[in-house]
Amino acid sequence: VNSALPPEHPDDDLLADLAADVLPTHQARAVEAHVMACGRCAGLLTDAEQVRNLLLQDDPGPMPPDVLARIDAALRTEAATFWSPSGSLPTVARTGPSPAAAPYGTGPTGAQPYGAQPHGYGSAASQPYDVQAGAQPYDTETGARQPAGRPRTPPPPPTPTQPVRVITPFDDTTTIETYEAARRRQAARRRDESAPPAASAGAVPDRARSPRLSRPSRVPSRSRRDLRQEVLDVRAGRRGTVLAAAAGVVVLLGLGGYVVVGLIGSHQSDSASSASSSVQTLSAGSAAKAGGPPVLTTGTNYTQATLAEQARSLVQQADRGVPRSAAAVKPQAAAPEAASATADAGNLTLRDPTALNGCLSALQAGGRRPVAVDLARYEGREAAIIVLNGANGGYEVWAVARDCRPGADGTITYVTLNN
Amino acid sequence: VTAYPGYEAADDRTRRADEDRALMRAHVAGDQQAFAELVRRHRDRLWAVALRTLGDREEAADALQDALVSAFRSAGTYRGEAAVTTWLHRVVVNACLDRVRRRQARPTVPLGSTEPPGRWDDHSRTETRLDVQAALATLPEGQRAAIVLVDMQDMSVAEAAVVLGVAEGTVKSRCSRGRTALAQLLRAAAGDPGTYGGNHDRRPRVARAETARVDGVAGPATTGGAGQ
Repeated sequence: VNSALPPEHPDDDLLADLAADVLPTHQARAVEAHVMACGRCAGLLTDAEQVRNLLLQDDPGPMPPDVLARIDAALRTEAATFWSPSGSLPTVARTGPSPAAAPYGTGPTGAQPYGAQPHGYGSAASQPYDVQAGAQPYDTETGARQPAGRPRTPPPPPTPTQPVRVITPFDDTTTIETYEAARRRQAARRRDESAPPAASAGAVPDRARSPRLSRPSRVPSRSRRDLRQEVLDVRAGRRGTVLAAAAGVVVLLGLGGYVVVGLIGSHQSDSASSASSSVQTLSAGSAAKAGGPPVLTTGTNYTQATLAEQARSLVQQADRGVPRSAAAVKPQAAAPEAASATADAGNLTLRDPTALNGCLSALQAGGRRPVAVDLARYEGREAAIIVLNGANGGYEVWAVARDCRPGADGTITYVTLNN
Repeated sequence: VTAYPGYEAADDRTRRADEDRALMRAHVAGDQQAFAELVRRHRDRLWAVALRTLGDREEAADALQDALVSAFRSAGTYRGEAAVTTWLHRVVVNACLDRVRRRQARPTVPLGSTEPPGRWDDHSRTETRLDVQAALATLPEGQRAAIVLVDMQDMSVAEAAVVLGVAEGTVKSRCSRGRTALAQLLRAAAGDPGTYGGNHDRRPRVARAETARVDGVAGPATTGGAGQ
């Protein structure tokens, strides 16, 4: 048989691509014809398929204890700084900033910190918790609930007392765009199936009204307690309820009151196509002439997905000293779903250079002159976007609360951009 | 598919994915236990990915540590479209591939050490591990990562495509090319060089191994043309 074949076999990669069914039809036919008649190539493909069995036999086993220990230590260290913004709050028995600090909702202060609980990456380094702890509520492999769950009672008061830092360091913007691009593709594909019917029925408040959660609260949205309950609900198998809740969930993110809108909201935000209805534009020139950094109010809705390019665009505007008009704002960057919820004018405190300096010192960037500041929105919520020159020639971009000040920087997100 | 270990019923996966999402939200909202719980739930699989992708225990531990700390910080960027486990795998795989590339930028490992030792049909688990690990190390990083996710972690092609940030067809191609290269290498290492070399492949074995190491993953290869 072989004598009838040309002396050269198809390249191994061609054979592999044939097996993977990724060749164009005409090419696939040709290679297939060869394989049908060639014992060597057919055998190779058979063996390649059998490699899968060999690979499946390979068992690296569970994470070794020493690796577990070092990762646990690293996460603990991270948690200690993560939960303690600017290092300005005590790690034990924290007290929150005053209610006035919360632009989107205020709640009782002085809530019990979660750090008092015996597990988790608490802010107190001395906490006994670690990932190696035997009291796993779940079997990692099967997900089966084990009887000896960690104590999750008593339920903490519903309001977190401290802004949560959500730091998102990326080495380069490529990472961001690549992931976000994939995410957007997915979002587009799943948008239709992402909203359970209960979403429009406003099911959230109902599900949250379990007896244990019925204490009066001044928090207008889901509290930390609700989230914990949600986790417990999921664990207890009450998935239907939780799904209904998830559809309309509004997550209260820290005391600062930054609200992350759940499935529905984020999709609206992602796909926001309406132009800003009330873009207020402040002359950048005036502040710049005065020697302060240019503080713009472009009305832009910065989003996680587009933060990099939006920040670069902001820098260009600041460089020009001419604020971009509303019409020039790209539709997806323009004002989002709830123009009525928070006026774009909002809190403009940071236009005051003193206030801005206070905020910068809270970000541990005191003394550095921002490249640009935009009192705008982030994911649909009032936020100040602050762009600083990065250490390596790029930029640091902070999205913070508009009332960012010493002791309460209110960081929402932070990325670094390469130049 | 059901024959693969680690397979879970779709319902179970959905439930666990929902739990993961709830934990992520709780973490972002300030629940200091939530991330620890996520780590507990996924650590063994993530460890396996890191170890298999990097092939070195210490490097794998370093990469996994970096990745989990990064995930801890950047949980706010997780938007819930992909499963949390997909997102975590992506963070870990990227951390590992970064290290692979850095390692390639300063090659300190002599090429000879990537030669797969021993026989590949040994039934001892340890022996098998060594062989598989050594063979994996000869693959281009893209193929290696795809093989690790799909063939070793039993991840779907679709999910692996999200993790790797490439098209599904690319994942399929990388897996298949990787398997073919492994079949060649392992077979050769088993002392059976003639099987596929035959009278037709006139390249020395080293050259074939080299091809497996340096080939691209994007387009079809250029040699052959048989049957055209």
